[in-house]
Amino acid sequence: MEDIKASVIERFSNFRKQSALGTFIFFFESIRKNILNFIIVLFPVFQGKYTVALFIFIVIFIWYGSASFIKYYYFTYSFDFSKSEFLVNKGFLKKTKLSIPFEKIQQINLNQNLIHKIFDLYEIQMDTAGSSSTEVDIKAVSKKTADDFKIISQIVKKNFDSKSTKKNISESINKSLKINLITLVKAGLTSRYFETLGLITGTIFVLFQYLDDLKIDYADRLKNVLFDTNYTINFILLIVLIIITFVLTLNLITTVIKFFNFSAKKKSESLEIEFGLIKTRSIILSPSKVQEFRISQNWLQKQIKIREIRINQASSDESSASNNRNTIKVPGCSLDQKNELFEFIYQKKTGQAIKLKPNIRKFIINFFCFSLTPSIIVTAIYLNFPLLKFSITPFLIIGYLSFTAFVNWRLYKNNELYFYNNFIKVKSGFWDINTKIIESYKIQSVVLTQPIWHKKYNLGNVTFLTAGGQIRVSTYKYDLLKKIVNNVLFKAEKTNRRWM
Amino acid sequence: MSEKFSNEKIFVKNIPEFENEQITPIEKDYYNVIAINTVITFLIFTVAYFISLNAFEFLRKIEFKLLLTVCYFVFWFFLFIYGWYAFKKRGYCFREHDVIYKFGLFEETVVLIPFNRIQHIALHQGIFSRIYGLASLQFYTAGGSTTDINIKGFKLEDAKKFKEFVSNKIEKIKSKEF
Repeated sequence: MEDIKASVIERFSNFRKQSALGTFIFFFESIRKNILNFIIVLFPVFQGKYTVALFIFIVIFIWYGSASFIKYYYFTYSFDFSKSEFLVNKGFLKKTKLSIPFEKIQQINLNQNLIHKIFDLYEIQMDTAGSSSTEVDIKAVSKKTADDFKIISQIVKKNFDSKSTKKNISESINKSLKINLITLVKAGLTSRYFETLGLITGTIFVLFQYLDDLKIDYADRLKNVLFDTNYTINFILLIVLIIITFVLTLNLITTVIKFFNFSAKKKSESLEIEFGLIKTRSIILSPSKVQEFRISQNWLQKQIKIREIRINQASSDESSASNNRNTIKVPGCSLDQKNELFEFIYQKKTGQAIKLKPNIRKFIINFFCFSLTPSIIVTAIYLNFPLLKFSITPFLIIGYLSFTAFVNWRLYKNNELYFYNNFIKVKSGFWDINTKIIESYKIQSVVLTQPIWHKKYNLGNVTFLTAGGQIRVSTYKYDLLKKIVNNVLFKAEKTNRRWM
Repeated sequence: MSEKFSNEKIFVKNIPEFENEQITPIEKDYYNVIAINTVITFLIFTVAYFISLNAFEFLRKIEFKLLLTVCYFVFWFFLFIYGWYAFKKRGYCFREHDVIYKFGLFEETVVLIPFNRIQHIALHQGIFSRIYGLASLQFYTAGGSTTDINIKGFKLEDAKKFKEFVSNKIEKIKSKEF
């Protein structure tokens, strides 16, 4: 093992280029990104000037081709193991030199897109904590280099962790967590209903926008279709059935394609995660960088005993925190798998907890603001103005009122705050019940707020912020929240451990 | 994981409580800076208000112009009052291991940042602050821009002193970290 390491260190200490085939990767990628530019070619084609079209096509082709080659040619990278830095030189006209200290490298991912698979190449992503501009991807390396990178990532981590050898490293368990196809199917059929529905609605709107842009008059025809249809119960049921089937199929397909062959292998100090059918992702996760551990489970998933897990690492900008590459998803875990994963990451169990519930005023206020007030306003308009005079309106109002009341009641009922010796946990949600867990000492800051109208009830809100995700609860007993904050701060200030 | 029995207490006794700390109010002079800023905004808005009242056709037609103008001034009056009371609510406290910043009139807010989580500190000085010899201190963490507190209205020498104090703390913490 040491020999291999030595040879890897020697090889990567000099600046090296990517695989020459990388030119093709760059080429395909720039074509994919600039596909719209090729529309220019279509104009002469429509006019029948095929030679002009061919000429333009060749020019664009050569342009992107040479740009890709230049990009490949001027990109070199190396590791300075003595200074513990990763170095990159890139750029033809505007030259850039980057050096990234090992400790800033959060994780090293090996990815394969379809094009990579054709050429048997790998893409290497270095996720860094800090501004996003310093994120460096090596677009194309050979399989051998990719394997070397697995060793390098261990060296990188060693280098960083050598300062932290105090923590007891659990015996290098080489067990692995696998998620089989059946579980994936289950997970696909039971999750992300609202996201997919939202996505479909969004797509439809974009489509309408597109039709608008093309000056196709769909409004009249749509109106005719909408008004001429005979809305029988059967018809509506059919439509609903079609939508449900569509959402389920879409979810199933995307989940299976994305997470096919999911496996997480435990190495002594990191977790190697691999998944994907068309695009294979391979992530090396180090537990010390984990900021938030999130479990989500809805009613259906509870019946078939599966749950989804999200692991958030420190991310540079919060806007993309929810869905960027610093988040790792594990679809369809069993309870045992979840516990195993949790204990591997945190090296301990949660232990005893103090459980807190929000005050009933949380429900009352939400019910008043989001259910009652809108209903009253609409009712007032209905009674006084001819604007909403449809026979269906009263039913809609009653439906809205009871539905939102139910939602608010569920949101109130499901909200729980747990305070452990080393962790903070919050449960919340209406359909998907999310459980967020953060380690107390990893908090960055705490924000306590108390609206003046809650002062006499001794109620308040608190937000615990970490570098990758936050926990917020509102309308809890303020005295208890203060006590928790004091304890959490004590944990964070007493420790000398890094938060990542 | 071995299943060993543990019975640690969850709440630690006798730890410092932030709510009992003495909160230092902001320098009185800083209210002048706030007042100057508010007056300038007020003047700009008022000029714009009267110009647009006469310039636009649809505004010229309004019948309750006087009422609108009265409402406009009442609004600004309350804004001034709000500014004063909100100013009085601001305060800070530097403890041995963290910084506390309190503010908010309708929603009392307390932000607490441990020194070992601060990434860097910036000292800012605006034009009007410079007249009164005041400065502000901004604390950056990795928790996101929403809680990167900016405490305004220190005396310049105090700001420098606190910056030095916190920087030294951070330096010391960094050397001990693992």
